[in-house]
Parts: sequence; structure tokens; C-alpha cells
Amino acid sequence: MDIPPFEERYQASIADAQLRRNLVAFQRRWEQQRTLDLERSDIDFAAERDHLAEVKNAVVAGLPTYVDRFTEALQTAGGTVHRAADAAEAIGIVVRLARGRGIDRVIKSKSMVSEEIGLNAGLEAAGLHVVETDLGEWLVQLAGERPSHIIGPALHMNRYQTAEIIARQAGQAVSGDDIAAQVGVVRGLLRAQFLAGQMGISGANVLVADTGTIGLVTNEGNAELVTTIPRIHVVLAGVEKLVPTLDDAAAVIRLLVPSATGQLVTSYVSWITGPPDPDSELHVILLDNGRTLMRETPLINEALRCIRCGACSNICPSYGVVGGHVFGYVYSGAIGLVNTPFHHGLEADAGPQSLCVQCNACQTVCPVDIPLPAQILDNRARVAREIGHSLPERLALEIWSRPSVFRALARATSVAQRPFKVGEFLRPPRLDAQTSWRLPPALAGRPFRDRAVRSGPVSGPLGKILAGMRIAYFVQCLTDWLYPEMGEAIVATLQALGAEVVFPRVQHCCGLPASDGGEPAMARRMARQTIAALEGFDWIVSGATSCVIAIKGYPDLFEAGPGWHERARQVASHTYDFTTFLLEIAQLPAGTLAMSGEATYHYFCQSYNVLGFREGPLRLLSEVCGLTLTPLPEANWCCGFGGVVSFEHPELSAGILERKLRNLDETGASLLVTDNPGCIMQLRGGIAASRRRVQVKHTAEIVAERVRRLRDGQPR
Amino acid sequence: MLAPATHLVARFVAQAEAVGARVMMVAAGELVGALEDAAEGAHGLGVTTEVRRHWPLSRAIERRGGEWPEVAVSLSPLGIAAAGSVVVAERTYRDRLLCLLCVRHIVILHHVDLVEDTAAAMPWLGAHPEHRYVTFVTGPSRTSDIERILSVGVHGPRELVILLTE
Repeated sequence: MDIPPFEERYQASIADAQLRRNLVAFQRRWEQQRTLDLERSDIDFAAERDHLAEVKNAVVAGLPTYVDRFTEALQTAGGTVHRAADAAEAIGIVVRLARGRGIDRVIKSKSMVSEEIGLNAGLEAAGLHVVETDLGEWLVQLAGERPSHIIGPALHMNRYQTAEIIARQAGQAVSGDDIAAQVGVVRGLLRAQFLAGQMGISGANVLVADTGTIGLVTNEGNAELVTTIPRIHVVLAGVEKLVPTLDDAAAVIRLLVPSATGQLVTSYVSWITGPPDPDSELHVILLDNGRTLMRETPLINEALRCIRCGACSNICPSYGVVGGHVFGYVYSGAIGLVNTPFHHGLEADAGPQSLCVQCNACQTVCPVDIPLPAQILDNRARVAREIGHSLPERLALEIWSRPSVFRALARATSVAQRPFKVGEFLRPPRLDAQTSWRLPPALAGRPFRDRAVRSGPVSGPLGKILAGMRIAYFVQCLTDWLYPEMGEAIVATLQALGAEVVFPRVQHCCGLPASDGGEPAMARRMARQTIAALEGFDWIVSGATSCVIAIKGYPDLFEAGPGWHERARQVASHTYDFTTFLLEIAQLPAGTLAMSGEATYHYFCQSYNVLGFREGPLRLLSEVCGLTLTPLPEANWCCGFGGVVSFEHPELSAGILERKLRNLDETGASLLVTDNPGCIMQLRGGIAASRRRVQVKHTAEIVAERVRRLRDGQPR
Repeated sequence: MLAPATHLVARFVAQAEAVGARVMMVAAGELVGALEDAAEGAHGLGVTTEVRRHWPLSRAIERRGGEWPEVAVSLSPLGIAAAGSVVVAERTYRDRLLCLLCVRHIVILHHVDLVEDTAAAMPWLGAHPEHRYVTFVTGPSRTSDIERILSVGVHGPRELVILLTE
């Protein structure tokens, strides 16, 4: 099937408000069901995930051996294994099998590999009649579309859209409201198709090397009918589906099912070992189609652990706005952004990969712990290298990376902006795609670096807590130029706790925009600047959690060894975000700063997904600072800033922000607290543009205000 | 009636019913009578080879109804308590289709054939390679492909009835 160009797909999805409602409803249902079911079950997600990742790593490492073992075992059981190097070879094998037996009617259960190779089009071109039997896949086939999700091919449609398709097929009216009635009509329509099928094609959820067994997981029972009725069953599978033993296969299914469906068990799990009857045939086509190249590519090889559960779509904020036809190519979701270049070429991934906001939620839910965010950045760097950035983007990153050029430009802007400055925002004469949904912030009158910072500790009631410590403060570009008061809040707090706070003036950007923008060489250069500026302190503290995470990732930028890698490791291990520093190093006891107030809390997505924030910040704000917190629905979902992504795809960023603000409306809160200046810029801009009345503050501002009031002896 | 004597039986019954299966506990001598009750009102009833072999009397309740009977009766070699699943491992083409194409699938399971969980079921699978096609069946056929909302009975049986015998 021809896939339209990315820009066309992107624009169509942005214009489709119905699609967005369908996607958000689906994502919410999945997340709630998964959370509930995992809580109820005896699954130890983290431990079983790590175990499964190890099992799959061993298979990927010894892949040729496992392929041989599987081939031998299946042959012993009476089946046949075919190897296909690419799509054309795989299609050719199926066509030959059909022609050799005079077959012209094929029934299929869901197989993403068949989508990957464009099997249906290939078979139809050879004169075969192909019917999909998974309900979602059948709907998509009739609509002339392709699956928008690995597990739920038709999840982009709502019940009224599906009713239209079913009614057309049945030649009778079908209720749009009544999903059960729609399903009943489909049962009747497809039953005849099943019975007429001469060849059954399925995918495989798992292949067992020791026994030659094929594992299939479904709820509908269509895979069982497809693989039972026709006397020839053809399995299409990527080599990554192999596991060594039946026990390993059970471990795959135990995590696959809740990750894929939010259930604990599906209606059917079938185990097929060879042709079931003396007069039946079983053929397994093992497909490479770029997998060998993936296996040879560092970092990307970890994607071969994938068990195709689709969880990375279900939790993805960008997917929730544009859906799988845009966020992906044939494979949707984060995994699609990773494997597309290897199956369908780099060009096919250039657009989709640019939609990733790097929130890291996909890695948090992945049942085999694939480092999807890092792999997507790796592909982003491939795109930058081989296809190239646009000139403005390249120029912006270049300017940002040079301290003196950046500062000169920032100071000039600070003067030039004056006619448009209204309070803390700029109000440009005409609102456009960049500014209509998020008012841009004005540069502060005086950046943090121009403000006098006393470095010594301040005596007071809390002065013993950090006494004797020498802390470097890393300000970050946004705080420095937009929100210097947040920087002052952090410095004042640390000093009030008795620390000596130093602001190393040579510091500049940590390099995060370069790294997010797919420019690793530039990121490395900026990391070296930052490491040199921050060495030699007891601790390094920043209120910019995104930059703290970037600094903690510095060692990965340099080759292991005594030089830069070791220096990076030293700096990284001493660097803390403000919240974690107060919780783990300062260890403020409950009640220390208790003063009444009400708020809601938004997790910076990477704080949640990379640093593992859970109860900590809530404890700091409620138990230590005395705030009464109203829970924010989807508090750990990204706000849509995503660094460069919000400038490259403002409509996407606006869509993610809209979801966040609607959740915020549900709390009724008038104060929103969070940890990261990027989120603060996005949230304040969006709140102002939509004329909501909610204040957004950094955790440090909440703490600093209480520290000041305590020092001044103001009543609690 | 058989009381849910063991922990495994209790767990199995709770799990199977939670996913929409109906579980009836039956004394050995009452099986054929229970089958008649469970099959009431159905258009056609077929039993598998294994059921005929174990309960020759069951032939008497078989009746034709269209190409494939609405009710199928099979015997399960294994039940999985933690999941509420029954293992269907029919060895002939006709028996497999009977269990898939029916509207109501009645599965007989002897309570001593219950194992704790899926992990405990895998050794059985490994030890019985003669069963080429084995399905762990958990509740009726269902789909969530439209709006992720659950509907029962899409392609496979709409009802799963488990007769748990003494």
C-alpha cells in the first residue's frame, strides 16, 4: 500500500479532532486497565521485565544458533522452515505455495510482519483473494487503510465510523451506538469466509527453538480458525520472535498480555508444534528484512527484544495527538520510530522520528526495557547526518552552542523585545502557529548571571543542615534569561540551609538541545565546556531537571577511560536536581517549612521516567512545605514542550499541552507546581494564551518563600 | 454438588467466572445429566472422541443441527487455576473444529487435573508432543477492537461452560 508523504499525513491528523478524541479515550482506558490489572496480579513487573530482557538478549546474541535449533525441531515435527531475506522473497514463497496447490482463497489472522512486507498487495497482484479476519484488521482492510496500532489496528476509528464500514459490507443498517450488535454482524459475515479459506496465514507471538512450537495469542479466536480450517498453515515471523524454551515462551506471554491489552489473560493462547494432522501442512517463513543489520548496529540491536505489545504507543503523548499513521510508518509508536529505517529506509523515518518529545514514558512501560528514547535520538542523528537539518534549525543549534554569540544575541533581543513586552510575556502584533496557543516568554530585564550572588552561607534557624558544604549552582539557559527569580530562590534556599553556593560564571548550555536535535558532536563539545565549569565542588545543584538528566548522561557521550569519560562520571555523580537534593542530601524533616496552601503537582516527564520520581516531590511539598495537594490526572504525562519539537511541530506541542490543561481544569487548582523550567515556560504560555487563571511555580519557589518567611519570623 | 474443597478449585472457579465462563461442579455419576442441562435449548450437540470414549452414554445426547452443532462437549486434560483457563488439546480435525465453531463450548475438567498457574502448565505441554495443537482457553471469545470496549463472542464460542467433576 502506498503511504502518503509525512507532511500530508501530519496535516491530516492535526485537522482531525475526532481522531484525537478516539486516541485519548483509548489511551486512558488502556492505562487504567493495565495499572489495575498489574496491581491485582502476582506479576513483579520490574523483576520479570529484567529477566525477559536477559532471555531475549541471549537469543539476539546467538541468533543463528537459535534459528538452526528451531528449524531442526520443526522439521522433526513435520513442518517446513523457509528463510526470506526481504519482502519480495517472503511474498514469493507464499505465492509459490498457493499456486502449487491450486489455492486462490487465503484467510489471515493478524500479522504485523505481513504488513511490513506488504503481503496482501503482493498476493492480490498474484491473483489471490485475501481476507483479514481479526476484527480491527478486517475493518482496516475494508477501509483501504493500514493499521494505526500494532495491537488494535482500527483504534483510530470510533464506533460510528466502524458501523458505516460494517453496514456497507453487510448491506444492512447497523447501529452506531451498539458495539455488541456490530460484532454480531461481523461474526456472521466472516464465518462464511473462514469456511471457504484454503490457506491460513498467521503471524507468531513467539517461536520456541527447543520444540519448534509456534505460540499465538488472541482474544477473538480468529487465529485458531485460520490455523485450523485450511489444510495448509503458513506462519510469517521475524527472527526476533525466537525464545529458547517453552518456559521462556510463557514468560513472554505473561508480560505481553497486560502490556498489549491491559488484561491478564487473553481468551486463547495456542501452541502449535508441527502440522496437526497427517494430511495438513505447516510452513514457517522466517523473515530477515533488515534484522541482521539491526543486530549489527550498536544500541539498535536492543530493539530486537521487542515482543510487539504496542505499549509504547499507548503511553506516548505524541501518539495521542497524531495517531499511528503519523507517529510511525508501518510499525507505529516508539518501536516504529526505531525499526523503520531498517525495514523501510531512513527517509520513511525522517518525519515520524521528529515527533518524539523524549519524555521516556515508552521505556518505563516497555516489558523488555528497550532504550527506545536513546534509539530514537540515534535515528534522529542518522537523519541529521544523512538527510540533513533545515538551515534555520542548524543555525539555531549552532548559535545556541556558542556562549559568546548566544549571550550577545540574547542581550540584543532583550532590548529589541521591549515594544512587545507585556508583563512576563511577549505579545507579537499577529499571533501565528507558534504563538496562538502559547504566549512566548519575554526575556528577563536582567539575567541571573548579572545579578549579585553572595556566595557565603546565611545564618538562621536552618543553617546547620548543609553547613560546610560547597555547592556549584548550574543555572540553565531558560532560568538564566527567562526566570532568574527561580535561580535566586534556589541559591537563597541552599544558603539558608548553611551551604556556600558558587555560580561558576563560565557555564553555558549543557548541550541538551544539540543532543535532542540529533547533533551528538555538538553535544559533546558543550558537555566538555560544562564539565570543566562544574568540577571540584561537593555537589552540583540545578533547578533545571532536564539539564541534570543531560549531565547525568554525559559519561555515555565519551569513550570509557580516564580522560573525559572519567571527568564526566565525577561531575555526573555529584549533580542533583533541586527536589532530590532536598530529599536525599538535605533531608528536611517533615513539618520543617509547614505553612498552609493548596496546589496541584505536575511531574516533569523525565523526572518521572528517568529519575524515577514518585512520592518524593509530593512528600516535599505536602509533608515538608505543608501544601494540600489535589492530584492531577495524568500528572506524569508530558506537557508537550519537548525542546526543539515544540518549535518544529507547534500543532503537536499544542495538542499535548491541551490534554495537560484539560486535566489541570479537572483539579480546580489555582497553583500548579513543577520542577522544570521548560515545562514552566510551556504551561505558563499555554495558560496565558487560553486565559486560564492558574499560577505556575517551580518547587524551589515554594520552598524559598517558606524559608524566607521562617527566617523573617512570619506566622505560619 | 461438589464443594470447592481445595484451594486450587476455589481459585479456578473464581478466575474462570471473572472472565465470563460458567463453572458447574458435578459428581461423576451425574455427568451426562448435567450435560443435558447445560445443552438445553441448543440446536445440535456434538461430543468429541475423548468424551465418547470416557462416557459412552454421551452418544445418546448427540444430535445434528445444521452443518456444525451449536453445542460442543469436550474433555480437558488440564486446568490452570490462576488464570481460570482450560486446556483444549483435541487431536482430530473434526474435534478441533467442533470446539471452535460452536456457540456454546462445554468443557469437562476433572478437578485433580488442575495446576496452579501457566508456568506449571508448560511442563505438561513439553511432555505431550503428541498434542500438536493445544489451546489455553480462558472465557468466551471476545474483542476490544472497537474503541477498546469489550464485546463477547466474535469468532469463537460465545459461551464457555466448564463442568468440574469430582
